[in-house]
Amino acid sequence: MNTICMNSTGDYAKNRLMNILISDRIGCTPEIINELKNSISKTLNNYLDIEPSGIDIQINERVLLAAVPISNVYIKREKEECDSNGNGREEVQTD
Amino acid sequence: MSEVIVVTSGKGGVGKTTTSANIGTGLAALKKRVVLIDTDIGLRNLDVVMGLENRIVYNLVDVIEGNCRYKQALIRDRNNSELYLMPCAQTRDKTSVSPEQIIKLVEELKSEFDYIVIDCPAGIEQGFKNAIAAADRAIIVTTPEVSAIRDADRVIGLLEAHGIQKIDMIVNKVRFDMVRRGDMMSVDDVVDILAINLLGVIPDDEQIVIASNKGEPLAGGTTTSGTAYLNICKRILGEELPVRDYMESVKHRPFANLFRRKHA
Repeated sequence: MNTICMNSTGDYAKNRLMNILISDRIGCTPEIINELKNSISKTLNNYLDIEPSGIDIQINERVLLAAVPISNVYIKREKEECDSNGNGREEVQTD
Repeated sequence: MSEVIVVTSGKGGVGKTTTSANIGTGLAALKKRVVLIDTDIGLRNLDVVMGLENRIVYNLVDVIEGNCRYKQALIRDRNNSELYLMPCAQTRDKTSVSPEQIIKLVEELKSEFDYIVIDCPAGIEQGFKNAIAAADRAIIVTTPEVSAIRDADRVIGLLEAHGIQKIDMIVNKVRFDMVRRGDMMSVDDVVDILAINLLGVIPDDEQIVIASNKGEPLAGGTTTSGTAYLNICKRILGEELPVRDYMESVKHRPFANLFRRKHA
């Protein structure tokens, strides 16, 4: 599912295996999982600035756990840091 | 009080029979009375790995069908007077035996042995159901390969569904040189994925092949694998031993730069 380039076959195997186990456990194909992942990121994107390639979905027998990295948290923090240093070029939003 | 251990894996060829033989030998070396039961009806091999193939008179199916008493079918190990093998039939199939019959037999054996180690056939059909029927705990044997781990995951699910709560794992045939190169999943990877207790790690060792050529399990001997098997047996007995420092390997972290800022 991850499109990153694996530099060792061991890591590649682990990644493949995790995808296989997810689909085995819930009984659907990797394509459907990919679709699920896409829908989740699409929906979340309506509310948050997320990193779609970083989404990690794990499924046990009864629980779906999704780790979704949020990007704009860092941006906000960076802006604040820039501002406090006195060299921020962008205007900081105020309430 | 005796304990019934089933050695299983799902996939064939990962080393169930070798593991069973070595666990039996190791537990007997630790002064326990042990019986090994081969439940791979039609494809028996435990007798060969133990070097007892010439002594078989009666087998598991004979006992279950009432052709003999169980004591007549038990074969005493050549090197260990506390270790016995119950061989299975070569000319029958898995449907000759039912889980209920295995449970009844194991109940009888419990009066005489501390540990009853059941070597499970590959697969998850009748033979598997027979093998796990009487088990108190299970040992999953797997190798660091996608197919073996996938099958192990499935088997863990089935064992849990059957109500077996104590499930441990042995990672077998690990090639540390390949793990170091990054061309084999590490033991940590396997533990991460299957999320069950690690009982021990066995390297891919030519001594194991030599031992099975000779029909003499190497548990308790001076080889690396022999020591690893003996330590596994000690852990089965409840001893707190750290799993041998297998992680000489370098851990690769391909995901390390995955979470970079999007708009930075």
